[in-house]
Amino acid sequence: MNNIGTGILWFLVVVFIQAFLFDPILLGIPYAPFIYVIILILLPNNWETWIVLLVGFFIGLCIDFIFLSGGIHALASLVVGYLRPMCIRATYKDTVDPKELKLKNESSISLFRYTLLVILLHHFFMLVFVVFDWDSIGWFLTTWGVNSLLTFVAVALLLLLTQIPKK
Amino acid sequence: MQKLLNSILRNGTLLLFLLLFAIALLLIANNQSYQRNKLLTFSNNIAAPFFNARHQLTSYLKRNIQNQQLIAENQYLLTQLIHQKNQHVLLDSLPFLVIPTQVIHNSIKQNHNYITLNAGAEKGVKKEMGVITAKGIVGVVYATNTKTSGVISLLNKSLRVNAKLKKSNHFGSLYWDGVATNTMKLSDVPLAANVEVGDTLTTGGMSAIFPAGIEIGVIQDVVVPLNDNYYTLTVSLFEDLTRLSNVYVVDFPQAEALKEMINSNNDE
Repeated sequence: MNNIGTGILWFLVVVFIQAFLFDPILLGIPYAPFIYVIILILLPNNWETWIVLLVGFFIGLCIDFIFLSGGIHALASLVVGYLRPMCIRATYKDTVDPKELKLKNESSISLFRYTLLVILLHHFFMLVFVVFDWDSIGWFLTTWGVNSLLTFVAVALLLLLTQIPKK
Repeated sequence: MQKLLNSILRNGTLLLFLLLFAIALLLIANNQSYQRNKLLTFSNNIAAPFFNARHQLTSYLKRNIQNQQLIAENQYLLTQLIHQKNQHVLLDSLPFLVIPTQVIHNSIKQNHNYITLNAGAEKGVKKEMGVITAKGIVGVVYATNTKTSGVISLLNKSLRVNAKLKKSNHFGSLYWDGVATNTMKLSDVPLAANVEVGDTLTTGGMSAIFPAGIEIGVIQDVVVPLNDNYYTLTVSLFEDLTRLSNVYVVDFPQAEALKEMINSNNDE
């Protein structure tokens, strides 16, 4: 997703799929993969953090607009955008500078590990603002786990289809 | 200023993150009623100690104004209370006012104690006006100047106040024996009064100094004398005369007219 045109195409396709295929209300269950997270994963690492923050916020806002969810997705995407360098450092320990990292040059295992970390973080912050209550901790953990798994499966499939790591 | 700008530029990403985070929270709060309630509860819990501290600080700073308001309120309530208690007494026909004031000096260690008030002739305080609190009587004004006035304290051996037993309406003379600051003696109560410990003592209302019915204290000790037809009673005061602060001077605007009328009747 190194040029803007590809990025916008990714964004439109993912939002379209998210809105018309993976809408929890449409599916009638509280669980659905939030595949738009893939955009946050594939955003170029050499972008300045403030651009990532604005892009993440904007993408989340679009999803909120579609799902009428206030600003929950915007907030979760924003947090992921802010913590992205930390996730990269945690996953790719050998990389000196996260901005130098090119996901295509790294192993699939590392990419999936990184994806899982981003998804867990994103869903955690998203659900924290949905549940917000210690009494519903069981529901929170279940939904967090199931949604994260669904999202991970969907995103991993998309990554396998579109991003083929060399190593 | 340069440092501030540098700091903003250095922490620009964090500031942008916080700004967008705040916008997201605002959006959540505005669009999701459940989240709004939760956020409000959360912010209220966080803010409550600060509000409390601020309230305590402003209360402390505004204490003078609040004291003035309380004094004015007490003045009104005290007037209402005394009017209500006096409905059956002759002096009730005489309207009276209370002038709020503060004690600026109060001697308690002598046999003849005096009190100084920070209200004088300017506020309408005159000689022979009674001084009361919400819990009882304090003394009688003996001298005034423009800004202050002197009061003969109840803790003064030379002062005698007309008082009556609330239960039996028997009158007596209240005076201080110079022993304890919280007790006084009541004399001239006939044995027929059948006094018991715990009986309440109020002002008698036989003069234009104190309105009738102001509660003074309770009978603490009853001594039946061997060769006398009158009790000597010890009265425990409701008011602590050693810790006076806000007091009220009782003003009967028509007291002079009453005195003249009594004097002329006596002359006839």
